[in-house]
Amino acid sequence: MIPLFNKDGLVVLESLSFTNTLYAFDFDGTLAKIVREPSSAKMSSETHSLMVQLSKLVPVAIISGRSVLDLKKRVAFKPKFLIGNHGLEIQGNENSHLVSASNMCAQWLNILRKTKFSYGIEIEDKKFSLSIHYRKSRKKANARMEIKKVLETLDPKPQILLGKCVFNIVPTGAPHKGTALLRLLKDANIKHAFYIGDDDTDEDIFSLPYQSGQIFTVRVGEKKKSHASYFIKNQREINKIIKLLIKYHQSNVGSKGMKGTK
Amino acid sequence: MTTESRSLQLLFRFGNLIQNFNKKSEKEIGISLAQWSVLKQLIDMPGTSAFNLAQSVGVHPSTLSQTLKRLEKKNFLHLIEDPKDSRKKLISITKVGKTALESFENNIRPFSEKLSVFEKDIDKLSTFLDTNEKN
Repeated sequence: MIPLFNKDGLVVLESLSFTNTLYAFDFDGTLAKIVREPSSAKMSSETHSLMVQLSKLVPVAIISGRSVLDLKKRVAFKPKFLIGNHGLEIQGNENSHLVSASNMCAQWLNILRKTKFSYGIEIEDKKFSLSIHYRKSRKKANARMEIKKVLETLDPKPQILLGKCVFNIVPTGAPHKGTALLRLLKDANIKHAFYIGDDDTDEDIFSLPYQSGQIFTVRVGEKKKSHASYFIKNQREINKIIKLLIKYHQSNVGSKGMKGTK
Repeated sequence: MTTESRSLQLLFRFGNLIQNFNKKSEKEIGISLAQWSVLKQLIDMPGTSAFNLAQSVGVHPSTLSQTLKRLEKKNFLHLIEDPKDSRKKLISITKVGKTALESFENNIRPFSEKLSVFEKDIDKLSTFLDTNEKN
């Protein structure tokens, strides 16, 4: 994992603009900063305005743990692709696995709502997955143990995706962010992707089988065990990346052989 | 002259033509045909390995290294550290390289248009090269 903002990182980032590339972003912790109340997370007005500009130049995707419905409320522009529920939900694509995921989540929710959790633990129903947040809990280690214990009792057993102060649960074997991104690339007939995310759930993309140059991965925050290739220091640097992408693509406008703009 | 001798003569003349073409284009435009072939592949392969690039161009990796050195010297490509393995290097085309590639293609258009007389035989020629490159 090396810093994105050095010569090597910037050369590859720029070279992505010479070919047909999909630019995909995680939402919480990447486009929007992490906040105490997940329902109040939003992009800064500058990030929003930059994303509007970028999405006019290149195909953009937002891949998040939030539901597509929730994302739509927070993203006022129209990215080419919206992926919700950790890759399970692709906008405009109703699949049979969504029906079974929804039924399973309703079953789990029923049990979880009957459970008396300590203060600070909150359940979020995202229809096709559930999130159990403990950011507000004062004793986070205890909250983690408590949630883990309850999740172990669920039947059928869910797949647990750990996030920042959150346990996300999805049906076992459900598509994840990595499979969703590969599907987008295939469906849109795009060879290369840029992806930036901050969370453990993003490792599903960071650790996709490495075919050199196919997926350019960036993590928000350096982490030794991450499979991402590059990192930026923190979420505040996101605007710097979007500005660079806009600059690279604008300088290609009118240039022969440009394929990135769609 | 037998057909076989005539074919060999043509092959020789064709070889000479390419050699002269390469010298002229490198002198006047700054890129040879071999270098164009590498840059052309590289534009669609950001951050690739030399091995993958050689496979795409259809040459042995050892053949490619000289071309890569020349292109790097001209700042047409940049060798970068592989973020997943610091012992390895990856290759990316630079903006200067992209501009040079476009300039080459614009300059070369009159010549490549002349080649269009072989349009009907292009598939035959491609099959011939595919077969013989493998041998």
